[in-house]
Amino acid sequence: MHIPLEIAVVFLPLMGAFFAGFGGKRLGDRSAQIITCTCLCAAAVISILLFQRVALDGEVIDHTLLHWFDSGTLSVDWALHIDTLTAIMLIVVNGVSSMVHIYSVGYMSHDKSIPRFMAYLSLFTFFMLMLITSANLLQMFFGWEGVGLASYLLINFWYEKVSANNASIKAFLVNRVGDFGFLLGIFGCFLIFGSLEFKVMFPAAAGLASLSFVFLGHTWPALTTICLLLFIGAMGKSAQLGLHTWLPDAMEGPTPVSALIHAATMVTAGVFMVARLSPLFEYAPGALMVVTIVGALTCITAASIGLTQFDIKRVIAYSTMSQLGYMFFALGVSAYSAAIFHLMTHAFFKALLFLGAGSVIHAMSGEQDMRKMGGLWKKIPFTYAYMWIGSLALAGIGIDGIFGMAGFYSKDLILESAIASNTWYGPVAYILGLVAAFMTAFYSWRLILMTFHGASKADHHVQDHVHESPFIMLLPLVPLALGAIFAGWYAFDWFART
Amino acid sequence: MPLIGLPEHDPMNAAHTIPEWQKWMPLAVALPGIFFAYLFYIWRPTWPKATADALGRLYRLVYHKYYFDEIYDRVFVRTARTLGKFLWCSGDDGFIDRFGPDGFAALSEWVAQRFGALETGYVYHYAFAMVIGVAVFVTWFWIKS
Repeated sequence: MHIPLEIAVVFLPLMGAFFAGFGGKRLGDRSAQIITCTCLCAAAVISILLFQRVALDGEVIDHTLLHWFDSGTLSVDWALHIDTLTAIMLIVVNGVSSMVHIYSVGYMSHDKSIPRFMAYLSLFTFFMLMLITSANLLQMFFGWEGVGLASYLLINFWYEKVSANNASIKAFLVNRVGDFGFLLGIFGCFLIFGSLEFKVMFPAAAGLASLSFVFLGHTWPALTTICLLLFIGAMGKSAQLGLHTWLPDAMEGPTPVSALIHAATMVTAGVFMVARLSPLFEYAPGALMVVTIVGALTCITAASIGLTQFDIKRVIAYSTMSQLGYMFFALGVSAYSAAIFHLMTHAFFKALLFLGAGSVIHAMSGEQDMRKMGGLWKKIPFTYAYMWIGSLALAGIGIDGIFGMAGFYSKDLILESAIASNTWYGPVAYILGLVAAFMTAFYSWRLILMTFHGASKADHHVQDHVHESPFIMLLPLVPLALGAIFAGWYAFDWFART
Repeated sequence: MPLIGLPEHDPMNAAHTIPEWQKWMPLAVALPGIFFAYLFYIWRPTWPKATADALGRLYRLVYHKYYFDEIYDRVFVRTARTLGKFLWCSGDDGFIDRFGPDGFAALSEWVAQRFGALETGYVYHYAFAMVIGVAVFVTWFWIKS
C-alpha cells in the first residue's frame, strides 16, 4: 500500500496518540513511549524529505482528503496544503516535538500516568500539524482549537494541583477571547470573499483593498477591520500584550510541555497565521501598524518583567513572550520571512533553554526558585553547557561576516528590516527592540549566574541529590543545540533572499 | 523564501542599505547586557538588592508584572462574578424560579390541599355531592331547553 508522505507526516502523530491514549494498562508505559517516539521521529524525518521536495525543489503539494460540508454557498474540504511556509513549520513542529517526546521518557519516568502524557503530547502535535497544513480558514480553526484543547489538557496534567487547574482554565478562557476575534474575522472573510479557501481569497484581496462599510455613521475599511479581528486571535494564541496573562501561568504543566507548547510550537501559531494570511494583511495598512506596535510593546514589556522574576521557568516564559513580540513587529513591517526565520531559530534555542531548565529542576529535586540555586555548574556540566549555548543564541551573539549563533542572524534581520521600513512605526520598533535586546542579554546571564555560579543556597538534603540528568534527557538536547548554533548561519541567505 | 509583501513594502531588501552602525547595534547592546549581569551577580552581588530598593515603586511595578493580573481580576473576573451572582440569586432564584417552577409547585400543592380537605371518607358526604351534581345538571338542561 502506498501512503503519500504528506498524509503520513500529519497522521503518524495522531496514530501514536490513539494507541498510547486508548492502549491504557494493557499496552503499558514502555510501549506507549516507544510507539509515540517512533511515530514522531518518523514524522520528523518525513518533514525533512518534504522540505527537500517543497522548499528546495519548488513543488507545492495539494492533497484533498475528504469533503467536509456544504452549507449554502460555503463549501469546505479537509485538505493538506504544503508550500514553503508549511514545510518550514513541519520541520520546526516535528523536529522539536520528537526531541521533546524522547526527553519526556526520562523526565516523566517517575510519573504514574506516562501513557496519558505521551498521548497528549502526540495529540497536540497532530493538531498543530492540522493547523499548519490547512488550505482554508476553517480547518485552520479546527487545528487552532485543537492545540488549545491539548494545551489545556497538558497544563492540567497534574490535575490534583489546584494551581494547575486554575492555570489551565485561565489559558483556555484567555484563548477564547482571542478565538472570538478570530471567528469574527473568519465570518468577515466569508462575507467579502465568499469563500474560506486561501487560493480563492488571496488573489481577490487586491481588488477588495478599498472596500469599506458604514457602522455607527462612520466608514470603516473592511479588510483592515477583518485583519484586526484575525490579529486578535493571533494575540491570544501568541501571548501578545493584553492577552498574554495565561502564558506565564501555563508553566504549571510539566517542563517538556512548556518547552513544546509554550516556547517552540503552539505560541508560534499566531505568527504563522499572520504570515499565512500576509496577502490579506498587505492590503490592510492599519492592521500592519497595530501589529507592529503591539509586537514592539510586548517585546519590551515582557523583557522588562523577565529582569525581575526569580522562578527559572517564568524568566524563560517572559523571554518567549518578548521574542514573540520581535516576530510580530517583523510581520508588521512586512518582513514576513524574517519573522518566520526568527520563529525557526527561536524554536531551537528556546526548546533547548526550556529543556535545560527542566534538567536543572530535575537536578534540584523540583526546586524552581533561582534564589535557592547557585554553584551548580560543576555538578551538572552538560546542562550548564546547553544553557550557555541557548543563551548565546537567544542574546544573538556573533561577529558579522564570520559566524554567529542562531539568534544573531534572525534578530538582526528583524531589527534591520524594522529600521529600513518606510513607515513611522518601524524605527520605533527598532528602538524598543534594541532596548529589549539589552534586557534579553541581561536576564539570560542573570539566569545562568544565579543558577550555576556563586555559593549554593540550597539545603544540604537537596544538594546531596544534585545529579546530572540521564542520557535519555541529554541526548535530545544535542540536535537542538546544533540548531541553536548553526541554524541561523546555515539558513540566513535563504531567508534573507528577496 | 517566497513570502514577500507588496513591492512598496520590502524592508528586507531595504535592510541591505542601512548604515553600518545600525547593523552593529543589536550586538552592541547585547554585550553590555552580559557585562552588567556579571557585574550585578558575580562582582557586586549586593547591587541587585540595592538597585531594587533604590528603584522602589518602579521595581515593584515590574516585579508584579505591571499588575495585569490584578487589574484583570478587578475589571473582568470580579465584575463577572458579581453579575453572575446577581443573575443567579436575584434573577434566577428570586424571579424565574419563584414565579416559574416553584410557583407552579406551590400552587398545585395549595390546590391539592384544598381538594384533600374535601375527602372526608363519610358516605353521606359523597352521596350529598352526587345529589348536588344531579341537581346542577338538571337545572342546567332545564335552562338550556
